[in-house]
Amino acid sequence: MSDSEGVWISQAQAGSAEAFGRLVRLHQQALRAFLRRLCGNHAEADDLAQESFALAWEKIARLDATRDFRPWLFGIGWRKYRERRRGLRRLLMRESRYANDQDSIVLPDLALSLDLKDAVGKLPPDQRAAVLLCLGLEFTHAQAAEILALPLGTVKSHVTRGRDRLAALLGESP
Amino acid sequence: MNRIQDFVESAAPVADDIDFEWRVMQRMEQRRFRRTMLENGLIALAAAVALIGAAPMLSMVWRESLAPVIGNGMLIGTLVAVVYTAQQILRLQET
Repeated sequence: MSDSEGVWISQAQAGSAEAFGRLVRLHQQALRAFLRRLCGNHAEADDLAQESFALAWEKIARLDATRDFRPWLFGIGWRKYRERRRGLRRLLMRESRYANDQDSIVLPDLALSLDLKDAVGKLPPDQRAAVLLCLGLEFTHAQAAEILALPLGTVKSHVTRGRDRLAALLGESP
Repeated sequence: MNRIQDFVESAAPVADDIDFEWRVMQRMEQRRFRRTMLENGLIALAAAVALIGAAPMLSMVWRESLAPVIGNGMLIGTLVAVVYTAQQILRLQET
């Protein structure tokens, strides 16, 4: 975290919307890229990112000064994604007479064309998020664990298994 | 697995997306407005419940103490003044 970012966070905590706007400018690209690859749908991901920033603005006063802003923000984005996904699953369950259990439902989120997109889309959401965070956005395992609210060991396992599974799906050696 | 980094980066929007920032600000304002409306509604509800609860006592106080001294017109004027003052205080707090 840069010094200026720390200042903007303090100012935003004191109620400065302008300082928060600078934080939005600083982090929107990474958060949207993460959510876009997680959802597979750019419009939905951008909507989630907007919601995440709006919620972050409401809660920023409670952000502990010792915590990094970025993992905290990504944690909000991840929870928003899961909330949306749960809502979508409930909707699909209501509408699908053939859905007997949650695992059998395939969410219509990945109209992807490239091999890697297909392969990433086939990973379970937790695994996909862990892979994108650690391998795609260079978060540490500990930061990813904080974002995803999962134990550190689980995140490491998700990353390893996700990477192996991607390699297998792409026909490469891990 | 540098391909994963490239994969994520290829989905990234432009760095200076003014439209997105504007939408975020708009959403922040909408949420603030909704929260304020909800708070005001709850305050109004609480005030109504309190008034209903206190009505018998207020009625007694009015009949026995205030009515002989002040008339209905002055009571209404006082209530209007109280509501106006409360509104001004709330407005000052918001700014």
